[in-house]
Amino acid sequence: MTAAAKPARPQKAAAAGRSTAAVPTTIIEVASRHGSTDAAGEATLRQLPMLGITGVREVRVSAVYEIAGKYGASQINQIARELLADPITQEYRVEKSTPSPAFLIGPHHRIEVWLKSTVSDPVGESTQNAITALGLSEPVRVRTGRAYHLIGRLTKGQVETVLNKLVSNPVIHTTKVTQR
Amino acid sequence: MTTATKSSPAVNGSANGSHDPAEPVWAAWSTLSAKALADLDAAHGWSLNAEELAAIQAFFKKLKREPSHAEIETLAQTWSEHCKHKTFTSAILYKEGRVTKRFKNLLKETIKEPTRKLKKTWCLSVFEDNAGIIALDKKWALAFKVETHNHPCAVEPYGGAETGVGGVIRDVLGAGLGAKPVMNTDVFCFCPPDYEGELPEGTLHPRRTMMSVVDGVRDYGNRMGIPTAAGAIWFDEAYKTNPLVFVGTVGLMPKSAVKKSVQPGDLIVAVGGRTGRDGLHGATFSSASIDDNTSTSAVQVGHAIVEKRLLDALLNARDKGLYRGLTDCGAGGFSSAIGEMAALSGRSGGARVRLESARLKTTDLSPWEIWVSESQERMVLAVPPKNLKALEAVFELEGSGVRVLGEFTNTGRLEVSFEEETLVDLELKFLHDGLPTRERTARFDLPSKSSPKRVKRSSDRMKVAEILHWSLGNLNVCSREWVIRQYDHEVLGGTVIKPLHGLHHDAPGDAPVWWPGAVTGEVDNFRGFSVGHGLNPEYGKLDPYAMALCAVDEALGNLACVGADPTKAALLDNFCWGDVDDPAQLGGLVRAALGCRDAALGFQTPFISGKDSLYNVFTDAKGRKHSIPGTLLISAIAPVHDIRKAVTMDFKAPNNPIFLVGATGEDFGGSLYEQWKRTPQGSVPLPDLKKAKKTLWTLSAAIQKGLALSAHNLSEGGLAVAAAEMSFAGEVSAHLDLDGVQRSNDVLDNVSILFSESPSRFLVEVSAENEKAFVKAMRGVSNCRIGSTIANPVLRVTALDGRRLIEESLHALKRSWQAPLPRMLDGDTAADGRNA
Amino acid sequence: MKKPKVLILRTAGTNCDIETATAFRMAGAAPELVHVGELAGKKKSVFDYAILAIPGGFSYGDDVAAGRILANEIKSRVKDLRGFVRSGRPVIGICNGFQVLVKAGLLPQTPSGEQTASLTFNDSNRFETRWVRLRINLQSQSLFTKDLPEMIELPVAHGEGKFVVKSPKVLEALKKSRSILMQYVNEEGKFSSYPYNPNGSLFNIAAITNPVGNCLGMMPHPERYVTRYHHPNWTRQTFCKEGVGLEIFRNAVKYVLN
Repeated sequence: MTAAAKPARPQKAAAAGRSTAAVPTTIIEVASRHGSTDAAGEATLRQLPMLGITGVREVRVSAVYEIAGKYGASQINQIARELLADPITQEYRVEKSTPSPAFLIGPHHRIEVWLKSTVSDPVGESTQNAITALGLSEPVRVRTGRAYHLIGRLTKGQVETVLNKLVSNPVIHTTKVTQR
Repeated sequence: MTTATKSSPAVNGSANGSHDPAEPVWAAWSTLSAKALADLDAAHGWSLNAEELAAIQAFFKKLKREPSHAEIETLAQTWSEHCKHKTFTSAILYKEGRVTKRFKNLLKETIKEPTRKLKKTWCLSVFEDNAGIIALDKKWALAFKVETHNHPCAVEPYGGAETGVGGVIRDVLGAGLGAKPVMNTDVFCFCPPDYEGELPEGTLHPRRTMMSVVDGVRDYGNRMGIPTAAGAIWFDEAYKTNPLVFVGTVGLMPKSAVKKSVQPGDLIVAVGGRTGRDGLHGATFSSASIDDNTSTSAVQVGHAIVEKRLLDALLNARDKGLYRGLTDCGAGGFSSAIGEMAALSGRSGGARVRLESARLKTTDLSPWEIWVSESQERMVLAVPPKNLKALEAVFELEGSGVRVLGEFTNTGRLEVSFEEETLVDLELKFLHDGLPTRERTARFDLPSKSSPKRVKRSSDRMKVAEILHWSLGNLNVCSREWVIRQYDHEVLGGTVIKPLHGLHHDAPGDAPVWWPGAVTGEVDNFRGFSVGHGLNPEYGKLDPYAMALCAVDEALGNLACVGADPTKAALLDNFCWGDVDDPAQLGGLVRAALGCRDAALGFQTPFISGKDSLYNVFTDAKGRKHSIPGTLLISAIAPVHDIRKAVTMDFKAPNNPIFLVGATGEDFGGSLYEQWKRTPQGSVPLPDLKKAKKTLWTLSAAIQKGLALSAHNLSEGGLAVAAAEMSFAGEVSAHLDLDGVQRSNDVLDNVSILFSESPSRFLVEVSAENEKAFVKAMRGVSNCRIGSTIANPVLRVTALDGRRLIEESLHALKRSWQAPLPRMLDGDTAADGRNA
Repeated sequence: MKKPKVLILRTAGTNCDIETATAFRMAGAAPELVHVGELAGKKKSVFDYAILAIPGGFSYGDDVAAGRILANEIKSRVKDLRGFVRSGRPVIGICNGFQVLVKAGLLPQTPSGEQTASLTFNDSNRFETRWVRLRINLQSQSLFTKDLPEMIELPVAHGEGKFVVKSPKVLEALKKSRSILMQYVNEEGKFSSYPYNPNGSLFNIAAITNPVGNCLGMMPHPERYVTRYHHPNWTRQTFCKEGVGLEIFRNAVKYVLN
C-alpha cells in the first residue's frame, strides 16, 4: 500500500481524550512570611528603577499553583503544608480562604503570570508527581505561575512596562492584572 | 516514580484540529504549479525552496503517487538548513576583486580540507558524528560540540537557552556510544544591556534577553550537574533583534565507545521524555528569518530533570553494553534521528517505525506531528532484541521512559506507519541524497588597501589613563563575574583552573583546565584538558578572513597560556551569518571559511566539528532586512599533559621579570582604541601564521616546562589592558618600560605600543632564577623583557622618552573593570570594590 | 583492614555523587551509589552500610523548593534513616543533602522529628558559586571536624542556602548544644556580610551537626577540595596547602574503623 492519498487523521484517542473541563481546580498561593526575606520580591524591586519606575516601595512575589483534581479541603491543605509551602519561611492560602498575615498587604497592583496552556510546565509536572508521592491521587494537571504585588505609586503605563519588560513574555505567558 | 511525568491532554497544544489546513491538497500535489507549491510551503513553514519543491514533485511523479503530509514533513526536516547545511555544502562561484574561484562543496574545500591533509592520528572521529572526538590519553577520549540556539533565544530567551544547552548535551551523549558531559561552555553576542534606542515591536529589550539567557543556561546546566567553565560575551548593537547564543559541551568517554553501529534487526528504542506538540518545526524555523509573525509553536521550555534521568540511565546502559548505536532527537525529532540512524543499518540501510508506540504528552497529536515534533530530552537507541529487558530495567530505576518504536532494516527504505496506516515510505537514497544543489554566487570586495596613515597619537598622561579606564570598562573587556558566578563551574570536582583567576578569584582567566580524575577515580592520573574560544566580530566587519585567523590565533593562544598543548589541539567552527542569499554576505562567509582553512593549515590544527546558523536576519514592518554582522566563533580543545603545571594569569610575586612575547605592530583596525577615537585607524590585525605558530608552540613548551609563573593572552585593548588585569588579579603590580618593546618600524608612539591589538602576543611573568632559562627557551621568537612586578599596588608605565606615562591605582583600575555589568543589570552602583 | 562501606544516596537530579564517592575512596572507604528507589523498594537497607552520604545536586530539579521532594520521599519511604542517625553511624548531607536533612526534620535534631529550620533563597536571589572562609566550632562534638584547623576554605554553589530557624529558641538550642559547626567569616575570621556570608544565613551558619556529632549537614562542598589543585589559588607560589575537605571524609572513615 502506498502512503498516498490518505490524509493523516487525528489520533483516535483525541475523541476519547480525558476532558479536563469538569475537573475542579484549586489555586494555592505561597508567599514569604512577614519577617522572612522575600528575595524574589527584592530582586524585582531592584530592577524597577532601570525601567524608569521609582514610585514602588516594595514588591512581594508569591508562587501560585493551579491544581486540577478532586481533592477535599484537608487534602488540599496537606499538599500546601507538606509540599508547596516551607513551614519556616512561607505561608500559604487556598483560593478564597481567609488570608493569613503574609497576604494582608496594603493597596497594591497584583500581576499574575502563568505559563500558557500550550507551553509545557516542568515545575507543574514535578509537582504533579510529588503530590502522588504524598499518597494522594494523581492530579489531572498542575500549572504554576507567579504573582507580583507592587506596593506604591504606579501609573497604568508603568504596570504595562513591568508586565511586558520584566515579568512576562507574551509568547509563553498569560497575565492578569488587578488593583486592590 | 518509575516513569516520566504524565500530562493531561490539555497541557500541550491547542486542540482545535486545524493543524492540517491544506490537507485536501495532498491528493493533487503532482499537478500543483510552482506558485501553488510555494504557497503551500509558506503556509506550512517548511522553508523548502523552489528547486527542492520541484525535485519532490518530480520524485513522486516518477513513483506515480502523491506524497503524504508526513513525507513532505520528513523531507523538509531532513533537507533543512539546520540538518543539511545546504549553503555550506553547496557549489559556490566566488569572486574576490578580479579573481574568481569555483567551489564544488565549500565545506569540504575549506573547513574539512586541513583535517584531511593533516591526518592527525589522535583525531578519532571528525565531522561524521554528533560531535568531534579526539584522544585524551591511552584510555580516554574527549567529544566536543558547540551549537547555536539563536532564533529560539530571540523569541523566548529563557526557554531558548535552556533547550540549547539541553540539545548540545544530548549531542555529546549521542556521540559514539555516548560520552559523559563534563564541561559546558557558553558564548553570547548581545546588544548592550543599557541600550536606549528604538526596538521593533515584539523584540525583547537586550537587558531582558541577556538576563533570561543567563538564567536559562544556569538553570539547565546547574541542574544537569555539568560545570559551565568557559565562555565569552560580545556586545554590539547589531545583535539587538538577533542575539546569538552558542552553547558547547565537552564529554569524556572510554576510547572503546568512540564508534557506533546499527544492524538490521536492532530495535528502534525511544528513551527519555515524552513527545508533544512543543517545538514543531524548529529545524525549518532556524532557517527562516524572524519577523513579527514568528510562529510560537517553535518555542519550548526545557525540563532538565528529565534529561538528567536520561543521562544517568544512558551512561549506565552504555557501560553495560546494552545498545549498539544512538543519536539525539534534535531538529526534526524522530524523523531526523531515525532517518540518520537508518542510513547506518546494514548495507542498504532502512527502518520500520510504528509510531503508535510513542509515549505522548498529549493524545491529540496527528501522527505526522509525532514524527517531526522536537520535544526535548529524547534520544533514539539501536538495541539488539536480547538486551531489551536489561535496558528497560536500567531506565526504569532512573525513572526514564523506554519505548520500542520498530526495528532497523536492510530494505533501503524508511517506512513509518501509525496503526494500520502508512505515513512514510521513502527510499533512503532520495531522502539523504536527493536534495537538489544549485550553484550560488558570492562576492567579496576587498577593503581598499590604503597604507595606514602615520597618525601621531597623543600620549598625554591624562588621556592615556582615560583610555585605559575606558578600555577596562568597555563591555567587551569588563568583568563577566556577574554571569560566571551564577554557573556552578566546579561541580564534578574537575575544574582545577577555574574561569575566574587571581587572589580574590575574580579576574579574567584565558581558559579553564579540567581534570578528569575526580570522575574517573584515577586520582593519580594528572592528565587533563582545556577549552579556549576566539571571537571578534568587529574584525569581521573589516575583513572576515582576518577575523578567522585572529579567532584561531586567540583560541589557541588562550590554551597555550594555561599550559595546554596546542600542538595537539582540535578546532570547532561556528558560523553565524545573516542573509546568505545576498552574494555580498555569502562572500564574507566564503572569505571567513578560507581564513579557517588557512589558519588550520598554518597552525597544523585540524577542525573536528562545526555548525552554522544562517539567516540571522530581522525583517522589519517595512519589509527591510537587518542582518547580523558575520560572526565566527572558534572553539579549541587540547590536552593538558600535567595539570599540576597549569598556569594562571595573575601576577604572583614582586620583583619578577615580565616578558612581552610576540611582535607589536600598528594593528588598530577594529580595535578598542579605534572605537574610542571613533575614526578608522587602519588595517585589521592579520596574524603571520608561520610566526604565530612558532610563537605559540615555543611559549607553550616553556610554560609546560614550568618556566612561567603567569601568562596572559593579549586581546582587546592590547598590552595596557592585559597588564592591568594581571596586576589587579594578583594584587602584585607591574612597572613596564615601553622602550624595551620590540616593535615593527611603523610603531611610532607610546599609545601604539599600549593599545595596538597585534595578534599572537602574551605577557609572561618569570621568576628571577628562571629568567635565563626562559630567554633560552624562547630563542627564535620575538620577545623582550619589558619590566618587573612590583609590590606597590600601582600600575606604572614609563614612556619611550623616559617620563612616567601611567601611574594608576590597581583599586581604581579594577573598579573600572568590575562596575559595568552589575550597574547595567542590577542597577548596582555600589558593586565596585566589593572584593577589592 | 576491611574498607568501610559508604552509601551514597542518589536520585533523579543528584549531581555530586561521583566526586563524593571519589572523596570517600581517597579517604580509604568503599563507596557505593544507591538509588533511593532501591532503598524504598527494600532491595537494599541503609543498615548494610557504615556511613551514609546525601550528596549535592538538584534532587527532582529542586522544583517547588530545594530538597523538598526528596525529603518527603525519605520521610515516607525510607523510614530507616532516622534509626540510622540514632545508631551513631556517620551521616553527612552536603548542599542539597543538607537541605534534605533539614526538610526531613533530621537536622536540627528534635525529639518529634519536626522541621524547625530551613534553607531558603539566598538574599541575592541568585545561585552563586564562590569560595568561602569558614570558622569551625572547636567545641563541637562533630566526628567530622576532628583535628581540623579552626579556619578553612571551601566552595559553595547554591541558590537556596540561607539558614533560618522557626524561632529564636531553635537558635539558642543549637548554640547551647554546640551544634553550630561552621560559620561564614571574612579573611580576619570575623563575621561579615555579603559576599563573605554568601547567602544571608542567620548567625552566618554554614553547617550544623546533631549534638552527639555523627550527623552533619553543610552547604559548602568538601568533596570539591580533596586535592590542592582544587583550591583557586594553588598556582600562587606561596600556596602549598593540601585539600582540607578530604579530612572531613577521612574523619568519618577513621571513626568507623575505631
